[in-house]
Amino acid sequence: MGFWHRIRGHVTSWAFLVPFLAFALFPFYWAIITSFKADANLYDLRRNPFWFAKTDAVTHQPYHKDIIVPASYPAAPIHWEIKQGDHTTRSDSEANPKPIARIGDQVVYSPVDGTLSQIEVPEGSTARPVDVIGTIEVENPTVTHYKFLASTPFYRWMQVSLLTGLAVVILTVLIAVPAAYALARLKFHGNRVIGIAIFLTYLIPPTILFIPFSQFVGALHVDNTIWSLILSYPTFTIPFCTWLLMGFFRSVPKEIEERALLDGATRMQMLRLVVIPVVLPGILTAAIFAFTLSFQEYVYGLTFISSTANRTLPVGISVEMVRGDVYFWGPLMASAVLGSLPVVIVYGLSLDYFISGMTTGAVK
Amino acid sequence: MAEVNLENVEKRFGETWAVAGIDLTVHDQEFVILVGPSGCGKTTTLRMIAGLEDVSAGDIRIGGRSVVNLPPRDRDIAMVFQSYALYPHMDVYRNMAFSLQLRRVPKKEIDRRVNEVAEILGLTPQLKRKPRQLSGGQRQRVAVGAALCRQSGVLLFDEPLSNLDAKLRVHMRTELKRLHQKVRSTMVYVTHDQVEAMTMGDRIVIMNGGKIMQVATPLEAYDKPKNRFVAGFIGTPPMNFFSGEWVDSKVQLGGGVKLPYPRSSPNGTKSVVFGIRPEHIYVRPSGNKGETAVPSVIEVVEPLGHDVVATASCGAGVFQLAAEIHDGLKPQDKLDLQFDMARAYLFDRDTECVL
Repeated sequence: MGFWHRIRGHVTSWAFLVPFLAFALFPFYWAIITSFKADANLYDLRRNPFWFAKTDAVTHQPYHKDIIVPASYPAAPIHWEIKQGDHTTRSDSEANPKPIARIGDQVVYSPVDGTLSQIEVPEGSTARPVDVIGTIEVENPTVTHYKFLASTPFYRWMQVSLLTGLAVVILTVLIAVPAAYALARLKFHGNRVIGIAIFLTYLIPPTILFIPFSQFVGALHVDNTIWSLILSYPTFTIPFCTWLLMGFFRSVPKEIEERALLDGATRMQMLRLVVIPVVLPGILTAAIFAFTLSFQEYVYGLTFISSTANRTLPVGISVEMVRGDVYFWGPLMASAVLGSLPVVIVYGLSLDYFISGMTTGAVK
Repeated sequence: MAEVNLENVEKRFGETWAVAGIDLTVHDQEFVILVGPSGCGKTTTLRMIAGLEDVSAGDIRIGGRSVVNLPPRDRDIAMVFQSYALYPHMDVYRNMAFSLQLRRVPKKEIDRRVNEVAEILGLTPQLKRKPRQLSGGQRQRVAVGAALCRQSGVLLFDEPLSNLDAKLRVHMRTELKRLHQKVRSTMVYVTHDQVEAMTMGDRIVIMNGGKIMQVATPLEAYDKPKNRFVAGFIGTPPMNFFSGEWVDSKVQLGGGVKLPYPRSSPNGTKSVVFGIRPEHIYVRPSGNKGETAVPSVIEVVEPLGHDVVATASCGAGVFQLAAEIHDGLKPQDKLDLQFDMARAYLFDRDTECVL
């Protein structure tokens, strides 16, 4: 008896939970630390996927970043100088960074507002474009990758994805809620068959459907617009949400519908005042699933949209942030982290609804 | 005036008959109980009155107006469901006010009625609670309260007490009876519990197999059952039955047991079922006329307190009798039990009707 006896239940449940948590959360951990790692740390293979490091795994030197003469600078040898006092100053604000070196009349700024270590270029030496003219100690962890996103259409893609998601959710709820109620409650010929058929349509993968769909998209003249997505995403969100909602509607005690009818409600009033409020957690769940499904959709987004500005987030990231076989891991992971935020926020806000059983107390 | 008339009402589900043609009149302000075993059609009958089931044939009139083609909301009825059917997202006040709000009753009037009903049912402190925060008994009272607020002519109850524990059920039984005397609505109450039926109803309707077996006051149902089903259904412990032959004013049961049967009965020989209630079998002679001693052996004794239910056997078979604990019955006792023939019944073995 005593300590072990008391915590045995906890030990058992944690023993089951920990492997699951490790499995489920590890990708997020990796994405998050990658998005904040300086490139030097990121490409230091022995330091991956571990926590931020201060020094190189091989040389045990602090991570440095080379300062390179901009490629845009004229190719001819140039005279450049560093003014005394410039090379050790730290930029105090982003708005007014202090120059750290001058090449001719051009000024090379600190690429990040981190600590500046040394610029060891003798006075009067010449440097060509892409020459290393100094090194800078890198900031680790760093928000460089996130800042870089501002120079890409990332926020535009986010906007497209959010807008599409919202429109798809509205469309899905408007169509799936009445459909699910009819299939779950009303007795009509063939409602079982229709219910199963609706679910089967969800099982057909988009990779098969995108070619016929592109014909529709072309015929409607909505290709390369957000409308092509708003109209095609419901083809998988509606069946899924209808199926999901049927279960919720079935769990509504029939007696409270009957009581509403006896209390003087018409069928529409009964739906609006009794059934819908009771299945609200279910509708919210369906809305979240519809949002998540459309937010992460890839195939239609890739095929129906051709201009960079109209891309959705997943397509934009993978198309624009991978050049050939070069993966910009930092910005990629930064956009993955930012991209998962809307879903995390939506889930977080509605967690209480998932957990609380709204129907408790309805019957018995 | 809210008299409920059922005329040859039938209900079929496909090939099966749930209700096989019943006629019934429930008078204004009467408390009528539909009672019977499960599947006897009592709930279906109630739901047809409510309009939740269509009638397959026949007519239902409420207050003289045929309602078979009216939706439930136009029938001037309120109903209390077995599972209470409270709206889980509304507090107690809104649960009770909902039907009035739908009917656009003025806010002041709603407030007055809800508060009055809440006062009667002792729900005033709970008005702001959600159903899930209430106990089973409180939920039950909210369901009754919501029905009462309507002040409809007819109140329907579908086994409203069956989800309560035994003690609360007895208490609510009294409460509902008191309530009926107060609100004077016509009440139709469905239950499978014959004790509930006997204690609460002005009249009880005993149903079996989709048919009405008897409509009677509790006393009539107990004293003058029309048939073997009613005789066996009403009363606890249930009536004892022995099959036998009726020959020359005597009932011959198995094992050579012969009982005189004083009432006028058909002549000649007839196959009958002899029925006698446990409480009409006495341990010692009371001196009443018409008692017949039957040699028996006590097998099991079940004391309930003051009363004892004993199981005994005689030549004709096993039966139960009600005795008092001070009678001192013990298993294996051999004694002559007195059958009160004046209160025994004979049923036709084929038609099961009382003779």
